[in-house]
Amino acid sequence: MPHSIRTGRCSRRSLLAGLGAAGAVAPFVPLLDSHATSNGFPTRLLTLFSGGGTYYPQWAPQGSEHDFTLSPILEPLTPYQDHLVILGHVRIQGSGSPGDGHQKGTGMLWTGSSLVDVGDDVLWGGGISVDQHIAQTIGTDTRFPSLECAIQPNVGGSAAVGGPSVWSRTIYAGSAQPIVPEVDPIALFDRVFSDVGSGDGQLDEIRARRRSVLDAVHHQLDAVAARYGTEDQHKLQAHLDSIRALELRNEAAVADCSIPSVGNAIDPDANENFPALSRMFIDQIVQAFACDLTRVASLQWARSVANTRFEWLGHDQGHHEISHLDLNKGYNRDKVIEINRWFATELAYLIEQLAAIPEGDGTMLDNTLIVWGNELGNGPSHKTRDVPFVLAGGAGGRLTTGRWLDFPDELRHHRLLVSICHALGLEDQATFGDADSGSGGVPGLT
Amino acid sequence: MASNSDPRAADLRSSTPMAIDRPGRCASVLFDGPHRAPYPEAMRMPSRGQWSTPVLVFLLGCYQGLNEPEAELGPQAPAGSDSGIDDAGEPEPEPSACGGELVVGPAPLRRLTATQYDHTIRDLLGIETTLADSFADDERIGPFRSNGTTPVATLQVEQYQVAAEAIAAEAVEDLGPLVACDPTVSGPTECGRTFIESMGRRAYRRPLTPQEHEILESVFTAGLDAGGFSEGIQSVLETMLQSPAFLYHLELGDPEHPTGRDDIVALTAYEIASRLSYLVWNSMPDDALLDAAAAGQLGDPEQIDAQLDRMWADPRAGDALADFHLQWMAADELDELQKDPEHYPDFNAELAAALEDEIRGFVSWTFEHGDGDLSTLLTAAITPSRDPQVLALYGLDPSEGQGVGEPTPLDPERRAGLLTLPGVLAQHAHANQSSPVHRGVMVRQNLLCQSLAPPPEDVDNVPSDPSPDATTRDRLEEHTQNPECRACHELIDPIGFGFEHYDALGAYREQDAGRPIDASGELVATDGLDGPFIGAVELSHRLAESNEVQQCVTQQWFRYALGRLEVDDDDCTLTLAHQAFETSGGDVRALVRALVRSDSFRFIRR
Repeated sequence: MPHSIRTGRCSRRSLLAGLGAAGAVAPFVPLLDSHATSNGFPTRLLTLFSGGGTYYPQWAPQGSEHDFTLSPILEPLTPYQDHLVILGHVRIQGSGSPGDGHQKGTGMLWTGSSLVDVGDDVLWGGGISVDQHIAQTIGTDTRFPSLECAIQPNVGGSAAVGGPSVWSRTIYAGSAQPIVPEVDPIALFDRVFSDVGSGDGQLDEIRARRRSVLDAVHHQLDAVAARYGTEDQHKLQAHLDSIRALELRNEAAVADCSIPSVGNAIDPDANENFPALSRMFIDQIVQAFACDLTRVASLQWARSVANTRFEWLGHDQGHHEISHLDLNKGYNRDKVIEINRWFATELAYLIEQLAAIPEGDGTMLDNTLIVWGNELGNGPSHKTRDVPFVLAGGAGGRLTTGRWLDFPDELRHHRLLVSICHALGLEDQATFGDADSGSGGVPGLT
Repeated sequence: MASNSDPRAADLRSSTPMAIDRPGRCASVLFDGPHRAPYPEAMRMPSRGQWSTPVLVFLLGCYQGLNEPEAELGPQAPAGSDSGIDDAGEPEPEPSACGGELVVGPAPLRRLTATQYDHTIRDLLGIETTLADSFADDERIGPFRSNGTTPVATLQVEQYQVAAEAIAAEAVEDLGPLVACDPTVSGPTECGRTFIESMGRRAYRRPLTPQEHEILESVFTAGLDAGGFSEGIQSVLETMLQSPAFLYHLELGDPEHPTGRDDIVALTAYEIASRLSYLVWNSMPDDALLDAAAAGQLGDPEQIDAQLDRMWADPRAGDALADFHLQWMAADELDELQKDPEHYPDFNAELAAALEDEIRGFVSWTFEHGDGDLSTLLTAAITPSRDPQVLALYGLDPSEGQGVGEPTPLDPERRAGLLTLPGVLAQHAHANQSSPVHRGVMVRQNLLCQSLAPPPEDVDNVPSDPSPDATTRDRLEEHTQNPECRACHELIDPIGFGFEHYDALGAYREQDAGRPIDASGELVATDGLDGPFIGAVELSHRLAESNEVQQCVTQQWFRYALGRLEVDDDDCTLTLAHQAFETSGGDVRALVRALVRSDSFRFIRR
C-alpha cells in the first residue's frame, strides 16, 4: 500500500518548528485569579511515585526536627534540606482492603481508599486521588486541569502484568477509574506546548476545524449514550466528559509563554532510556508550571513490581528482583540504597529547576508542593509500614520546611493526604479517602 | 477468573525474575490464601459454578437439544430475519439453542484494541499504520486484549484525536482512491454527500443514521466553506475516526427482533458482521460482509459457514489466528523480552522478533497446511523459521533448511508444538535462567483454565541466594519442602520441571549446573490427566489428548471472540461449542464455527 504513518505528530511538530520553538521559559506574570496565593503566584502540586519500598534504616534522617542529617539515601537532597519536610514512620493502613501489599500500597497511596474488586478479582483503587481532588478546585483556571506522566509504567512484566492494572496506576478520577498517564515525553510536549506562543492564522484554522469536529463527535456520543444502559453509560459519559475537556481547551486562550526546548524522540519503553525520560518529564512539568498551563501534575517512576534494570548504576538485576533479596546482606542492601538514592537525585534535579525560576521575592519552589511517596516500606516484607514520604517546596507559604517529623507511634498516611489538601488551599478538608478515621492533617505540618 | 490475568496471580507470571521462583525459601503461591479449602476445590474456585468440569450435569441437560438439527442455530435467526412477532402481536420467546429459556451473559461496551485500530485503518483507508502503538495499553480479559472494563481517560481521547488528525491529513493527500465521485462534475456538495454515505457505512460498520448523516454533512460544509472540498473530506474523516461508532464495538441490538425477554436482544445483522470480522480478521467487515448484512444473509448457518470459509481463505485470518495463539500462550509481548547479557550474550531484539515470527508462522502453517487441530498445535515438531538465530537455537544449520514455505522438521523427542517453541519458553523464563514456576503456572492457567492466587501478604518470601552448584530443580525442590509452600508448589513445580530441558531462551540443554537434566514431572489435581510424565514433549502429547484442555480452549476462544469472560448464563454456548470441538476431533475451526452460531454470539444481555 502506498501510504504509511508511523506517528501522528508530524502536523503539530512541523507547526511548532515554523514557530521557532525552543528558548528559555518566560517568567510567569502574576494573574489575578481565585486560586493564586497572596503573593499573586499560583500554588502547584506535584506528586512523585517510586515503587518497591526502601531500606528504612538508611533512609531515615538522624537528629531532631530542625537539626538533622540526611541519610545516605536522601543525601543528594542536602543542598535543599531547608526546603524539605521528611515524615518518619508513615503507614498506609490497608486493613479491610482486598489485595496484597503492592496492590494496596499502589492503589491507596494517593487515594486513601480501599481497593475495589470490579469482578473476577480485578482490583482498582477505590476513590479519587488527592491530586485530582485538588485539581477540581485549583485546576479550573488552567489549560490542563492536571498532567499525568509515567515512565515505563507497563514495562517489566509479562503479558498479564503489563498493561493497565492496579500495579501500574496511581492516579484516579474516582473509584475504579484509573487515569491513563502519558508515557512519551514527546507526545506530552505536543499536547501541552504545541499551541503555546502561536498566534498566527494556521492555529486558528486548526482550532476552527477541531471545533466543528469535536462538536460533531459530541453530538454522536450524546445520541449513542442515550441508547445504552447504566452499566455502559458511564463509559460513554467519561468519553463525553473528555470531549468536553478538549472542546474547552480548544477555546481557551493560549498562554503567553516561550516554548521550551524538548529533546529528540526516544523509545519510551527502552530500559536504558529511563534516566533520560525522567529528565524530559521533569523539564516539561516544570515548564508547564512556569507557563501556568497546569497547576497539578504527577510523575510516576515505573510502577509497582517494576523490574527496571538500573544498569546506569551498574546493576544487572531488575529492581523488583533486587527488592526481594536478603537485605541483611550488604551487597544486596547497597543496591536498594543506590536505587532509592537515584530517585532522590532526580528529586534534587527537580527542586533545582523549580528554584531557578524567580517568582516575586522567591522562586517557583516556594509556590510548589512536591510529595514523593512509595507503595511499600521495606521492599522484601511487602509491608506498607515505614513508607518513605518526602515533601519539598513551600506550597505558597503554607508549609514550614527544613524539618524531620518522625512519628515513632506511626502516622497514618491519610493524615498526609488531608495535609496536602490544606497546603493547596483546601483548608476545610477534614478527611480523605474511605479508610480515614477523621483525625485531621499531620500534626504540626501546615 | 480462571485465567492468567487474575491480577493477584500475575505476580507469579512475570517473565522477569521474581522472588517466588527463586530457590531456597518459601515461594508462597497459594490458592486464595492458606485458609481456603485444599485443592481441587480451591483450584476450581474461580470457575464458581461457571461452565467447567464441575457442571457435567448441566452439560448433559444441554446436550439434549443437540439432536434436533434446527436447534443448532435456533429456529429464529436474528440477523435479517422476520420480526418475530406472531399473529397476535405478542413477541414469541426466543428459545435457547439448548432448548428452554434463552440466557446469555452481559456484553460490556468495548473499545477497539490497538491492533484492531491499526488493522481497521488499513482496511478502511489503505493506510498502513502503527499509530495505535502510541495509545495507552490495551486492557486484558483473561490473557486476551479487550478494552471493556475501565472508561477512557482524557489522554486516550486526545490520542484518538491526534491519530485521527494525522490519518485524515494523510488520506486526503490523494483524493482519487478515496472519493468515488468527481466534485467538479457532480458538484462538491453532492459529492461530499456520496462520500459520507459510502465511507460512513464502512467506518461505522453499518449504514449511518439520518442524524449522523446530518451531523457529518454539516462538518463537511464547514470544511468546504473554510478550505474547499479536500478540507471538507478531511473534516469528515477526522470526525468519523473519533466517533463512538468507529472507536467502540457498539452493540445496541435489533429492536425489531424481540426475544421475549426484556433484557436480551438479538444483535443486528451488521453487529453480527462486525463480530465475525473482528473475530476472524481482527479488523472491520469488508464490503461483501456488509452487503450480506444488508441483504439479511447472515441468518442461517449455511450463509455464516460460507462467510467463514471465505474469510478464512483471506490472509488476514492467518494473522488473527496467530494473534489468538500468541495471547493464549501469553507470549504477545515478546518485543519487550529482556535477557541477561551475561548469561545470554546472543540474545537481541532481532531474535525476540524472530521468535514471535516463528510462533506466527507455526500457527499459520497449522491452519494453512496442517489440519488446524488442537492436537497438531500442541504436538507438531516443526519450525517454519528461516531465521539463522532461531535455527541456531535448535542447533540447525541455516543451509540445511527446506525449500521456501516448507517447514523444517525438528526432533520429535525434543519438540512438540506451541509449548516447546522457544518464544513461548523464553517468555516464561527469567532473564538469566529457566523458570519451572512460570512455566507450570502458565500451563495451569492458560491450558487448564485453573486460577492461582498470589502469596499471602505476610508470608516471608525473601529467597536465599542461589547456590552456584545446585540445579534449578534442586533449589526449587528445597523450597517446596516447606509445608506452607508445598500446598501450591506441588501443583505448579512438577509441571514446570518437565520443561527443564529448555533454558531461558528455549534452547535444548542436556545439563544444568553440570548435572544431567531431570525432566520428570507430574500432573496432579486435573480432570483425568493425573500422573507422572517425563519432559515437555510427553506433557504436550498428554495435554493434546485431554478433554480438560479442550474445554479450556473452548473457554479461551469464547473470551477472545466475545472480549469478555464467560458467566453461568453462557453455559449453553460453551457446551455446544465444546461439543462441536470434541465431535470434530479437536478442529479449532469447528470450535469457532460453533461459537459464531451460539446464543452468546448472536444475543446480548443488557
